[in-house]
Amino acid sequence: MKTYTVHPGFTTPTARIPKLKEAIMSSKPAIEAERAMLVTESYQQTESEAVVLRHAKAFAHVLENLPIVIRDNELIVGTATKGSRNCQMFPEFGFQGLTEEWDTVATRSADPFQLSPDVRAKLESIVPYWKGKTTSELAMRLMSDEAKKAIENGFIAAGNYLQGGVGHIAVDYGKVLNKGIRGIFDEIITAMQNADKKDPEWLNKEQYYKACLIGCKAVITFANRYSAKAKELAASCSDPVRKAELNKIAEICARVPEYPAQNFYEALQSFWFIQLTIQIESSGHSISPGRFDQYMFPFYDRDENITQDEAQELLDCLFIKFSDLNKLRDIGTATAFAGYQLWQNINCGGQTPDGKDATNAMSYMEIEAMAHTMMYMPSLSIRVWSGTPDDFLIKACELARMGGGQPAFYNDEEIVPAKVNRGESLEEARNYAVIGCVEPATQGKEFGWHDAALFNLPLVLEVAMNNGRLHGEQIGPKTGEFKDFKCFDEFLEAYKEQMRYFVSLLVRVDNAVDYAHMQLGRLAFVSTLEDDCIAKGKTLEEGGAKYNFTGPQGIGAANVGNALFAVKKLVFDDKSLSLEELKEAIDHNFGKPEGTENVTVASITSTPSNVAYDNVLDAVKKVLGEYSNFDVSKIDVDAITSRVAGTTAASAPAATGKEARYQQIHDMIMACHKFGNDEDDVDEYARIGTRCYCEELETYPTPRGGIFNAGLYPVSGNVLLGSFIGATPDGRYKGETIADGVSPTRGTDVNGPTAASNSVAKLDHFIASNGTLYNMKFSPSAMAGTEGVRNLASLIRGYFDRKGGHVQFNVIDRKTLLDAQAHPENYRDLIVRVAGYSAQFIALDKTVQDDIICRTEFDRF
Amino acid sequence: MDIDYEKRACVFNIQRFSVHDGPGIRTIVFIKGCPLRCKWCFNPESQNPDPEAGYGEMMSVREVYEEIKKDQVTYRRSGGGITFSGGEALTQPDFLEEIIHVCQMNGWSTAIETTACVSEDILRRIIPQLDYVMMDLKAIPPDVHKAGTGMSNEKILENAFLVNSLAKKLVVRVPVIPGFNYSEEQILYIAKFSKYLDKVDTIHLLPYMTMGKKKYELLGKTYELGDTEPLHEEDLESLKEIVINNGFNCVIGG
Repeated sequence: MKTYTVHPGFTTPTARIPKLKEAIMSSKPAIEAERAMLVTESYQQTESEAVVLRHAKAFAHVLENLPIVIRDNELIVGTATKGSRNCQMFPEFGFQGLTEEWDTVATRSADPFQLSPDVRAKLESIVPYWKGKTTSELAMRLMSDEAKKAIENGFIAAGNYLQGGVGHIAVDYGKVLNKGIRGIFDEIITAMQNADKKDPEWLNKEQYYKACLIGCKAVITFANRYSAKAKELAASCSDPVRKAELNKIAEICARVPEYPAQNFYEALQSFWFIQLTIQIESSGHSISPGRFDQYMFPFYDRDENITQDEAQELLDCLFIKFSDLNKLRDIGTATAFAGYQLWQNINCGGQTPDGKDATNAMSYMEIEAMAHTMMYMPSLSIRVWSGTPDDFLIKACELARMGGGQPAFYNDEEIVPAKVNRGESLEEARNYAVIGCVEPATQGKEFGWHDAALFNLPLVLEVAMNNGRLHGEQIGPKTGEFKDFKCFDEFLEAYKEQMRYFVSLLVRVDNAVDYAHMQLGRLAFVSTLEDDCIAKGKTLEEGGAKYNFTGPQGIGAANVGNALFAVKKLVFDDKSLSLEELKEAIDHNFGKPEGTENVTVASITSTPSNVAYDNVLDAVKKVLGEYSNFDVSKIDVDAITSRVAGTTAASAPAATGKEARYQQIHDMIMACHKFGNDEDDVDEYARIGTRCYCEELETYPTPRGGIFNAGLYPVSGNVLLGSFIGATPDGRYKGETIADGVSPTRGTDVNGPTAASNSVAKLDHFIASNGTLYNMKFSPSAMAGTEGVRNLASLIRGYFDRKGGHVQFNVIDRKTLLDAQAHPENYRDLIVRVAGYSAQFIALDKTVQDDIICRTEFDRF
Repeated sequence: MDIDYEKRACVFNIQRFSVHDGPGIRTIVFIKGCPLRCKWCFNPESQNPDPEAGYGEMMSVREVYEEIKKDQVTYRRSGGGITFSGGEALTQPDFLEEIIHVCQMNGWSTAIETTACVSEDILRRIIPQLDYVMMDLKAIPPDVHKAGTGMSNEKILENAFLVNSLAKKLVVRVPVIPGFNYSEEQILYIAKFSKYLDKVDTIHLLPYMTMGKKKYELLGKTYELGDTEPLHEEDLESLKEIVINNGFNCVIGG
């Protein structure tokens, strides 16, 4: 076995790495048309065939004709686009909405894309063909009016699978590395031979198997085209060093992924072809490498002809490749989930399926590669358990200290039992991979349909306070007028009953999307890499995976907890307020004059920008009303305007009479204990308020088999969802951002990081088995010296001893972020943690930037 | 800063679950080689820097790392870590520096038991990197010191001030030996001297033991203390009082 040596700190990457990085970071993303045109061309020729076969043929047509591009200095090759960070289009999933944004796509504030007139003309020419044929249109046709209404009103945001293809999966990459695609051919053919031909379903299965074979063959063709291209470039290359590199690339691409990888370099290249082609087959994101260190280590360990430094350079090259890929999303989604992010989540550490520590040389090398590249992709996830070596955790903390928001830390001691509780075997549960933001799924066996929708928990509370009404309209069950509740438990029961109703709508939304994908079940190639699709003869969308879930995430845990507790304490325990008084104060936004700034980014004094305002308004409209007749007047324009403009309340008139009383009530609320300070009384209600969401959800089966599986993480939708909610009894003003993930409401956790993390750990993370997300922010001074990283590691261990599920860190001070907002040109390399991912700070929408700035910053442990 | 995992030193014992040599539960790495020849030495096999009579083995930093990492969960839980002892561990500064870096890279606390009988350079290089220093003061009068250890102590006392200025945490340890320093007078000297070391607030009194006696035979050495009876905690009560009266905490047995 190879010896791997760990050293303090990080080495300097080779000269090639900064060059590759610069080429990507300096590129301006643009839209390309090739894929869309090729897919359309193919679909037009296969009208009468089975959908799965049609898509496989289209996939093959794309891979046979997509331009082959090898970029300067690359050692790992393969791209979807001619230009770095450009994107292809996926008209078969959801298209029309995007084409309506062509005029603003290059100038929008979040994730702009250049669009040349030529590309635009091409893409416009296929709009008529796809009208009525896309997955998203079918999903909307399947959705009930109540469910649509819940989307309009901001209870549910289901943009992900509604507008894009299926994603969120960590396939069995090891299968390709070890058996080659030829091995998968054998598997498919054996399955076909062994299939029960009397089974009436054989008819469908046969189509599916044929599609799988077409897909696999296409991927080999694609790799061979790279081999030919490398050979051609080598022939004309005058630099002998590069010439040799190109010849090597030609040799490798002729072998993998068709055949088993013979060494580390081949394994990396084989991996990348899989990672890339899955993302060409579908527009779904969060295609996650998962437990990369586990399937890649043997190839490094056995490779006698490679040094540690050479292997590290190849790995660095691969890590940069992740950011070569890009996807266009509509403005609403782009604003909520900004940062050119595809959530390709790569893991290291944790346990082996048989329960030993899994940390190996590749685990450390992944951390090193992150330090060498410092990009916004991939996301690195560190699995931690009691057997995690200290030097590994400390190394990961050293990376966290560098400030790029990487890595995130996951607790095996919580996640493994949570997976077992969902019916997986202990071995499978131990083999979970973190996908997308924070979602755990057994590698190569589970299709978790993670990120199925964002669900607005505080809005359910608002409806419970209004007898099922929202903005005066009866949209939920009648659970009693707020003023009539005789005891706290009656109010709590009303909240739970509203929860049951809105969860039922959430399920209907998700199932409509699910059935749309199932009926148009297109994705054959990716399914060959996931058990038990080949055995069952079904795509993932049809329920081919061994384990199936649907995982929507609740947002605003802290707001609900603080609100329930404030009602209980002020009204029912202390009797210092009546329900009427409290309700009146809330209905009057605690006396805060309309149009004043809610968010306290006080030192920002930028002038109001109409461009930014229009973009956000568009974003909200989009999410609300993409597919239905939406009344724009429902949007709280003032709250948005004030937030975008960043104006302050300097000129607010002095409060008098009733307004003074409302403000007094606000003061009383703010004086109550708040979640995030290790106070059992309030923390208990954060637990109750989220648990009832999770418990209700898990009673529903999904169309693919399996059950609904709740998560508590925000992506960055907490900013958007907050804009739908009126003032809430936790003291939050109308329209204000809600708490992200399971984090305390920003600025209210005032007892330091251990108190905050103790509170968060009191939630039931086990039942939120689609993942929880906890953001912490530290000033760099807290992390200084060997003491700093030692303390950070201890904080993580302590949080995990208390069975928290996930934690991640921004290590950056507020001053830097404010300066970056003012002078974005100086901060192109500033990467920050947003939610379950990192992004270039300056590429984020301002509302999201402000949210990050306002998070509590700890300057000590 | 790369660690040289191939640096070697002669290690004669790695003792796990040690609870008297620094905070928490610790692993002690005993390194061979010592400038002193204390007549009562509990570890006579530690004096010679080379392997001898089955004692000691040249171990690399990597090999020691493999061994000391086994109790990492326990260090974490108990606030413990690694203690370097000897012999005189500072006689192997190159090795020591590498293994200290390994410990720091793991977040483990590091401690040393030292005679302070090494060059100023070595002290300046190593002591600031350690979390906890236990420094022996065996006797203050030079002639007494020389009679018991084979070496005069002017340099050691001078070094004591240097260690005091370099260490993060410092305690003074005194092996209490009948016929050498087992007297109120000698202990008073030590306590008074220690008052000049402002980082020291605790003095450990280690009662004489005869545990090492057998090893002298195996090494072919003469045990000069013959049948001297071991001391027990109660024998040190009056000495403890002297230490306390001089303003220190006193721990018998360390």
